[in-house]
Amino acid sequence: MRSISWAGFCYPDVKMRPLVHFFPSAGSVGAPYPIACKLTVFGQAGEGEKSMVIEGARLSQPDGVSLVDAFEDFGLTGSASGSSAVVGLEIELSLLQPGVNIEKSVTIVEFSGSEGVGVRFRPQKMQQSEQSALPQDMAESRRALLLRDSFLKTSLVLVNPGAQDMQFLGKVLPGGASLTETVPARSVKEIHLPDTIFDSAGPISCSFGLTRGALLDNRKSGQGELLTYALYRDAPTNEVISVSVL
Amino acid sequence: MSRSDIRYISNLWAGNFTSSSICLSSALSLHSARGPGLEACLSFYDADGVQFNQTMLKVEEEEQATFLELEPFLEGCKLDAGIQHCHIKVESQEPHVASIRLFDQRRSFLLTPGARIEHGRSDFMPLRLSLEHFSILALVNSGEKELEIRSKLLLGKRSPELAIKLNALSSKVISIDTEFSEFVEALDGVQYAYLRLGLLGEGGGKAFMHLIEGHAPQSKAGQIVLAC
Repeated sequence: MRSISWAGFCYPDVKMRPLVHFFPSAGSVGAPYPIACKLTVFGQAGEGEKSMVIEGARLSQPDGVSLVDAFEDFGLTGSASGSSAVVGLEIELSLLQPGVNIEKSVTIVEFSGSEGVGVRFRPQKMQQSEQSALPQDMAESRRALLLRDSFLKTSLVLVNPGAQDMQFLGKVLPGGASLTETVPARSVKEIHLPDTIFDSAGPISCSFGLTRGALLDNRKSGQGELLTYALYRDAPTNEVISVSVL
Repeated sequence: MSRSDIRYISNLWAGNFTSSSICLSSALSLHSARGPGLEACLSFYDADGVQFNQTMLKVEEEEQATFLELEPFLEGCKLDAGIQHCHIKVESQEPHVASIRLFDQRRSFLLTPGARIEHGRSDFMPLRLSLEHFSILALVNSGEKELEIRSKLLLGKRSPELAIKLNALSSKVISIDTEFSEFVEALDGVQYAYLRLGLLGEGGGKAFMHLIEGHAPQSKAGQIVLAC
């Protein structure tokens, strides 16, 4: 495999200093072959997308790119630099050298909070074309932990990097409340969860106060990929402080 | 619950920071992923891989989740690098979702699943080094074999290495600022660096890591601001 892609998200906010770190790796192959890193950002439906290829990276050598430097104003309708609206992010690493497989490569997306230390997460690898021939109606299920208390609240980011619209279907346990969302092709959405979905989750008393937790049984329908991330935000400031990949 | 009944296992890292400048506690949340009611066995292993505690945790029949503050369970845990920390194995017959929250008086974090380190696949972690910050790497060997991890700090043109031995089932914390002090102390301002990690030797070992960063005690009262 000479190219590999991931899809995640970032915020086009200069103050959050969004960064992409990548580690192109071919296992035991240590020769510093040149690597190209293609970054693509896309917003909500209809906001278009913008791409940039970064040269100069080398196999087996970790490197990083500032997204603000790479994209300046991000160039998306309604997603100008400084906006708090989420932006989809696709990262593709490719290698010209034949016979070298870089599927063991890793990427990390980082952005900073007001305290000056970064929040980091590993975006999800996109399926390669030969693996994506799944049955039309195949549904995949994963579970996300949702939390709500005086410290933390949870939101979801749905990233559809594919060419077809996707339907997100979520069921909250306990209570069985449903969450459905259509995510158009090449777009991203953030869902801020209402407090009412925690109504059936009895509060648990802890030394830091009452906390409510629920599980989201997360499904998608349709052929293609819908990548889901759970964001845990500091409740008083609304800052993202950790990201979980589902 | 007998060993043969166990079908679902989670491996977690937890720690209690109780120094005069940093005070941080851990709590475990356990959710039943199938329906109300769940019973799980929690086994606690220290920095040597020695089991020092074990308990059963029950989600009541009418409930979906429970929450366990870990400070009392870590009382018997030996200190490693000045921190009481451990590997917790959660085992149940029914599917569960288990996770660790770190909290202090001011903030709370959910420790999202740690990055895996596997044979034949190196991993990396970006670091933001300065005298104002501290970075702690928490490593867990979730397998039954001793492992050796090679970590290489890539800082400008320098690349010092550190070999870390992890006993079976053990956890270990590495203070980047202490282990690489001659490089960190020479920094002027904030500098990005990368830590590259890989398993040495042969075999199918399993390890994972978390990076915990914060402001150094002298800068902002030791507030921990991130765990990832």
